Amino acid sequence: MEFALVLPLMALLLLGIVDFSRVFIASNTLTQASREGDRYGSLNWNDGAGIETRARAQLTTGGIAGGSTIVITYLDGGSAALLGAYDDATGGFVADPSCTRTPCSPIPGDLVKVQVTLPWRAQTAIIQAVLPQDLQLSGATVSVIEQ
Amino acid sequence: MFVIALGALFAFLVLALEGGQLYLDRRAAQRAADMAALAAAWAYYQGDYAPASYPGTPDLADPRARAQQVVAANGFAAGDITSVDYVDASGGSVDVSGCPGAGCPAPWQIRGVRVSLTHDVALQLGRALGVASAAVSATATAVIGPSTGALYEGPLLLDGTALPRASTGCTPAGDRYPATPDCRPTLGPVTLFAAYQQGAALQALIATMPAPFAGARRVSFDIVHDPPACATGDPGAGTYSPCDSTPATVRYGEGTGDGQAAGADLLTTCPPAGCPAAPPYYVELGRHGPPYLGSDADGVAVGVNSRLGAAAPPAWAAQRCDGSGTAPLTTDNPRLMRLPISYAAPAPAGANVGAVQDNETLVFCAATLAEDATTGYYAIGGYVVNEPTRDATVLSRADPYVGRDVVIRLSS
Repeated sequence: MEFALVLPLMALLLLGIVDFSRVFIASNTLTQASREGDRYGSLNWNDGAGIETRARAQLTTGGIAGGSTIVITYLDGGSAALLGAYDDATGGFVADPSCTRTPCSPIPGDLVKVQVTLPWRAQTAIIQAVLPQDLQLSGATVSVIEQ
Repeated sequence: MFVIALGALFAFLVLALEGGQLYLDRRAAQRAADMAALAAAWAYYQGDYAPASYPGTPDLADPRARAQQVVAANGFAAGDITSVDYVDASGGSVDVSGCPGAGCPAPWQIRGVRVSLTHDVALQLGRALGVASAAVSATATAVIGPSTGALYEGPLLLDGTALPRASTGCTPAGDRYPATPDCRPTLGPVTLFAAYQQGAALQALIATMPAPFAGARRVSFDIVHDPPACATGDPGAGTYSPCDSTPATVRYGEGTGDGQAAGADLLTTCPPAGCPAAPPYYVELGRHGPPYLGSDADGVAVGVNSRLGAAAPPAWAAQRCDGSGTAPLTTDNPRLMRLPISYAAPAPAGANVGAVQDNETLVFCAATLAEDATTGYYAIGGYVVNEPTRDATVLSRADPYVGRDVVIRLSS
């Protein structure tokens, strides 16, 4: 009798643990992917494709095959103001309109930020009902451009 | 019964969720520490070695600031950094508690940075169990050494062991590198820059000087030399040998701690009146030392690895390569080291010598530059330039090389 009372609650908790664990794993993978891409970016800031390649390789290793978005942005090394971003379409750096520095293109000492985001849906129906549908997981790493 | 089960389930929930979150935070802290250590190590070598307030000592302000900046950019607070330590090549701690001041280690003794951070994670569910927060901590150490990268050799220091090597197995045996395998340095366009930047420990630049210095670039260097003793009778003929016949830690540089008067440099010894009208201007790097155990034919006058003595120099004025300045090169001071720098084209405003550009021409007064009779290599500021290469081409020189001018052009 009491077990019947507890069972739904227990199911909710257990399934929640399972789904949240998957969130943690995915978050960690995203963070790790951003770190790998960012480390490469600190040595090759202008090779946005290479940064994404390395990040995606890490995502694949972590079991995230697709659906992720990688955004590479560059920040001023002093003020941390946005300088611009890597543009997938042109395959190069594009200055942000807000950039007032000359030049906007990064120099050693500036920061490169790699952010990896992934839309997330819970796998179990009971948790899907609880969690928002458009949950976005993301991991970002910022490091200094060394050369 | 129900209540007990509920409590147990809740505890499991806490364990799973907040435990997982803590592990995640732990990874994030490690990542932030990694990046901070890399940035700090980079900043240490990238920046000036010595703060203006105390020349001759390592500048520790930039690495710390960088570490704080990067930690903050990665989602933690700058205040989470519990320590920024400095390490030697093997990761052992270097005591910088005496800095800035006479107790400071020499800049080259620091080879990396260790960053530790601790972050308190507030627990939401754990609070109900009486645990309001938990600390995650991480430590990362970054040591910069020669890398295998083609374009970036990494910081190189004057201990004679950090020269980039073309081959593996190039471990110094005693005071020199073996003849085989080929231990000649791999040098590229950036390497000479690296030699400048790290080998000579570029200290300062003034890009906007008043006439007649406009366009000229004043640099001062801080060279620390801590050579091992040479074998008996060995003048260090191995070219790569960092040994010294009179081993002693000698600091060279502008200002305190090196026996050289502060400000004994181009700007003060050559006030705007009475200065040479045009470049090249030179910066002296060494001083007149006692005779050494060898001769020019030994080919051992290898930049900072040549004989460094304790005697005061006769003068510290700016010099021209042709000796028409106030302290011309003479045969009695063949070891006087100087790195005269002349640019064929005016330097771009804001540039510094640490960013020697491709296709710029450098003039080295050859007192610092010698050819090793065996290898045919040149040494500049303690670093060896393979000649001829596409990377650094000798445009002109006079024989014998020692004491003469050599013009080297960097190709792109």
